[in-house]
Amino acid sequence: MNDGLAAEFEWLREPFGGLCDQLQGWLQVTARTVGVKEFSVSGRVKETDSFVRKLIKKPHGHYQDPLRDMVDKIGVRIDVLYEADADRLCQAIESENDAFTLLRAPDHKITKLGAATLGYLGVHFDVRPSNVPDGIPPEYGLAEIQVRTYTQAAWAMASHDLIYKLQDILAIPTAVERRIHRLMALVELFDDQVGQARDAIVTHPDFPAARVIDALEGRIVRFTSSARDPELTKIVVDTILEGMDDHEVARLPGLLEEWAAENEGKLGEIYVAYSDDPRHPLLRQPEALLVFHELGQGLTRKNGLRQAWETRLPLVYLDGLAGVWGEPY
Amino acid sequence: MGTPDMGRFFVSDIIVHEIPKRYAAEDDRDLELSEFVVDVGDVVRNFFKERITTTITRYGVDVTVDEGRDQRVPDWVRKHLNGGADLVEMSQDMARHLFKSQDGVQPEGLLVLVDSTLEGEPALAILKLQKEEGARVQRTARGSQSSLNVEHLRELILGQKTRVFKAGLFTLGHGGSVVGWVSDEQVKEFANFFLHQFLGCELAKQPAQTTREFFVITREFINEEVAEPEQKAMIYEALQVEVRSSKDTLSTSEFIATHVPDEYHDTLEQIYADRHLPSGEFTKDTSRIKPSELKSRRGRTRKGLTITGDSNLFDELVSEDERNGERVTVIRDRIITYS
Repeated sequence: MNDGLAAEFEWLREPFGGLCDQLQGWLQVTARTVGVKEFSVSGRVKETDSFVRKLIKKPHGHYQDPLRDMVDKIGVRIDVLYEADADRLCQAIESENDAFTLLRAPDHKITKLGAATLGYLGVHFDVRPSNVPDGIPPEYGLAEIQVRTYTQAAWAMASHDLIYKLQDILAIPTAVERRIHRLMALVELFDDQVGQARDAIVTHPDFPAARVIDALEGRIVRFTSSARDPELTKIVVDTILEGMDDHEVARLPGLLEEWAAENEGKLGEIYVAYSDDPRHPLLRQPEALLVFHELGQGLTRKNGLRQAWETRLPLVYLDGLAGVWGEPY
Repeated sequence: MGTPDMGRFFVSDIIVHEIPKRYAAEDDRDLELSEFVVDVGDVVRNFFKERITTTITRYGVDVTVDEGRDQRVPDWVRKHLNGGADLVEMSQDMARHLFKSQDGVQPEGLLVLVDSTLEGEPALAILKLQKEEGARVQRTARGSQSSLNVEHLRELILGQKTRVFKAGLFTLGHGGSVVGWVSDEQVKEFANFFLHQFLGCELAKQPAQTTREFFVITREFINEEVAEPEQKAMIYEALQVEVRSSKDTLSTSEFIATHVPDEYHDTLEQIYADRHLPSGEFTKDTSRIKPSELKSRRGRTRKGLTITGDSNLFDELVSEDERNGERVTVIRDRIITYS
């Protein structure tokens, strides 16, 4: 029986690949839209022999129709830095969208573990993509999306190896079991502490620039995926903020959010037009958004920006951004 | 109409035609015109976007079609913006028209048509450029040695500092009429061949009207918005000096930056924008400002002091009063410099 299924699966692998690409593209766009700064998207269609091996492992009758019921034959994954990012992504996946519908409630691994058990904490979604490519019977066009932190991903990789080694050992020595539990606890603690440290930095009253930079970084990823230089961002943002009073700086992150939402269309057009234009080295940096914001806040702010800028930075880069934004000096 | 959001001006196609000098006695000539659109790439497209943005923002003034003039260019532009005219054919027609319109005074140059969008709508920019000369430095090698070689270039057309540069940017207004902005970085020649004879347009507001509005609006701002009498006097004086000076142009942005205290910059900028004054430079024509409006008033006290100043300020700050049975003149101001 498996031979016929294997042949059919092999034949479907190519169109399944198209579906996999679609979902990866959607995840990349969505991650940027919800302001996830650091992420990695990957995807794969199971190898045919892996598909068959899974059939062999499962008890007879587990899958009524394996090509339909083995949802993870197509799997896409997004790994992110912070748990808060994973939460935002999960919300986006659960929201109504054009790309897919959820087959069932998301599988939050933590829910299954309960309060007293440690283990893998990713979130898995079974989805039915909206645009199933030609060549795939509609009922087979199902896939799995996984959302994890990088730490959870690291644990998943390590545990994958450990668990299969341990399966043959009926009685795990207490010391080894304890060691594994310590590792799993560390994964949870690590993510928790990283998130808290980040929140502490961003909200610390002595580092107002951090909140501004955080707001800018959360926005720029919507428009460009270019590598950024955080050190330069700090220099430029500090330079611009020096010309503002504390009250203005405190209000700035909120104002930037509002302004960016209002100017989403214009920003999108600009970043598309300049995607292959290397002449403005600051354009793909988060601080470009702060410059654009200040250019549109009236003559006083515009001139103040220039005065602050020339104390530390070459004017040619400010003039370049001003030309791009349509507010030349 | 005001300046559009030039951040939302994007270039899609560019076509360039060489326009030779036409001698006065010359009737017609076959021009060697470009026959297809070359994909210039994003860098050049964005360079033109930024250069046109700068010139329109700094020097652009609103123009409308002048139906008393040759309407070929407005008709071509309208047809093109409505999707009915091919860029190459239209630009060739325009190039021939430009050549024939020249009267022997204009030097040879280039006509550049820039197919574009402005605030999401179709737009067309028409540029008239002159070729420039320049020098380029390139590293050169001789055996194992290297040095810098200077190469003379005759074919530069548009640099960041190109002065001989006229630009028109057109889009469709309400009712499908052609509206636009024209800039001429050699402002003295504004009422000229490019605007009238070639483009068939006229300034939406004549310089005399713009100059008068600038004068009146700035005076209203001083009276209504500026609180400190010293600041009022200072801005009044600057306004009079600017309007009376021998300069051919005025600039709203320069006036604000040079003569208005920082705390009023945004207010006056907004007032100028709301009243549709150009955001940058415009041609000065004081013919609609009465000499009396520019005249100072002078008063002399019984004991020989002289007070001189703008007549409006005079009315506002100088008054007669009676104190302890004696008539006195009250000046609500303070002397800040003595000479």
